[in-house]
Amino acid sequence: MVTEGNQALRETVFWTPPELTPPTDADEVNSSLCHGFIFDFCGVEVDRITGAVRVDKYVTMHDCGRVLHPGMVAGQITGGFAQGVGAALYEEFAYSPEGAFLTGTFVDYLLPTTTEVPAPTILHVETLSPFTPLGAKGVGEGNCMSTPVCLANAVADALGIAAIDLPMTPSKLAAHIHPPEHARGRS
Amino acid sequence: MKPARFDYLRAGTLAEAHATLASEGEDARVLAGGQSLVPMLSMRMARPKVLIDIMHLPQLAKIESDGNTIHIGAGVRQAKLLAWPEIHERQPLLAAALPWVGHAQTRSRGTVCGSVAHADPSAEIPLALLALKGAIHLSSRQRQRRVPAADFFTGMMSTARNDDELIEAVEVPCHTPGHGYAFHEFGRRHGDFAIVACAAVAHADGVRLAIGGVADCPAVRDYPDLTDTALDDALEGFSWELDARDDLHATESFRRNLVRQLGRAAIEEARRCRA
Repeated sequence: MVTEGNQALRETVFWTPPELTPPTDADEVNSSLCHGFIFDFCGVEVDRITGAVRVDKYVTMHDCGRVLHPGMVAGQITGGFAQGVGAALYEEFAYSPEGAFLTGTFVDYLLPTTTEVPAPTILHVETLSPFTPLGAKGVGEGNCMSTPVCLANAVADALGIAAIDLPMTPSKLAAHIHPPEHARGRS
Repeated sequence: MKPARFDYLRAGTLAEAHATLASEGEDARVLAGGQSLVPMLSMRMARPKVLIDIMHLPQLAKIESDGNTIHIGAGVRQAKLLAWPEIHERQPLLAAALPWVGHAQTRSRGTVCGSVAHADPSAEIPLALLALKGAIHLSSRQRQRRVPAADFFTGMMSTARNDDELIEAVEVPCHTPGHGYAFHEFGRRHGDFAIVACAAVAHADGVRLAIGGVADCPAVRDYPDLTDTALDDALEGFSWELDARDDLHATESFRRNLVRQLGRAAIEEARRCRA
């Protein structure tokens, strides 16, 4: 037990923003004080022979209010982006027509590695929240949601098609590029 | 998973390795770099009683060339061959194919001959060996023999090696003046197994094209100097002869198309590189 004379000065404070004080008179709860915003754009190339997608440039712009820790924000965005690239191009829970799970190992369930994830350009605009003391709004793995959509829109535009299923595997994309194969018996 | 129990023998002499192979037969497996065999052990797809480690035999760790052929011993790691200063000059196709073998990390352990012994249908080294008309030097306690690559790869992960034999070396012809080479491969990610891999050798009278990743073992065709639609027709025929199959990563039709188009790209590049 530390004697009273040696104790450091300390203070614990709890603060609840008034907008989040539950519940309202109508028994409603506001679960989120403020929202971050994202927009993404990208340029891609699709190989005419192999159907492989190359991401030439990927820009992701965030408004998470005041950026409190730039390194941690960049880490969150980059991690969410890598997961988005995986969802868009590689990762799939695949089943056979008989219902057998086909992607139960990392040989078949493909995660993008460092060589498959391009470095995104990360931009910020800081619109301070009026509801938080520091103006911060929060940043999560929002690119998990924005990146698959952004890549799919770019690839669909490149191929001139309206809709495309994820993941955009080369085999699937090549079927949109190449004319149907002539049926031919094995010689 | 972990491997089933096995005995480990560090061969001190080649004769010791041969003797164990002779007595244990198919229950013995030769361990070199371990980049294919050890995962097979861990998944219990292979359950040998004894592993014979040949990596401590200095006579197997040599790359030698007399100007006509390159002799690559069973202890030569892929990274060592890739870093061999003469590789680009002596055999450009090997130099082009080796960076596609696994990853830098696996190449620093895996051996050239180990890849040949494993005979994965999508492996690059067996493909290059077939395209270059290389050969495999086998030895047992009884005899030594030299098997052309065209006769060595007999099916999916199966070869002409007998249970009492080990691969002592592979032999690859050196670059012939006037020949050109190209290697093209497509896989899902960097370092993944090839969906289709093409090795082309162009010479004065025609071209030789080897395809891996499609059939159960690498396949090769020799063509006269075909161009335009004649070449398209030849590749169309080759693409159907390989019995491409559907799997998770590629449809059979996609594979045939890669054979036609990547094959053509490899042939055209090899022709341009004739020197």
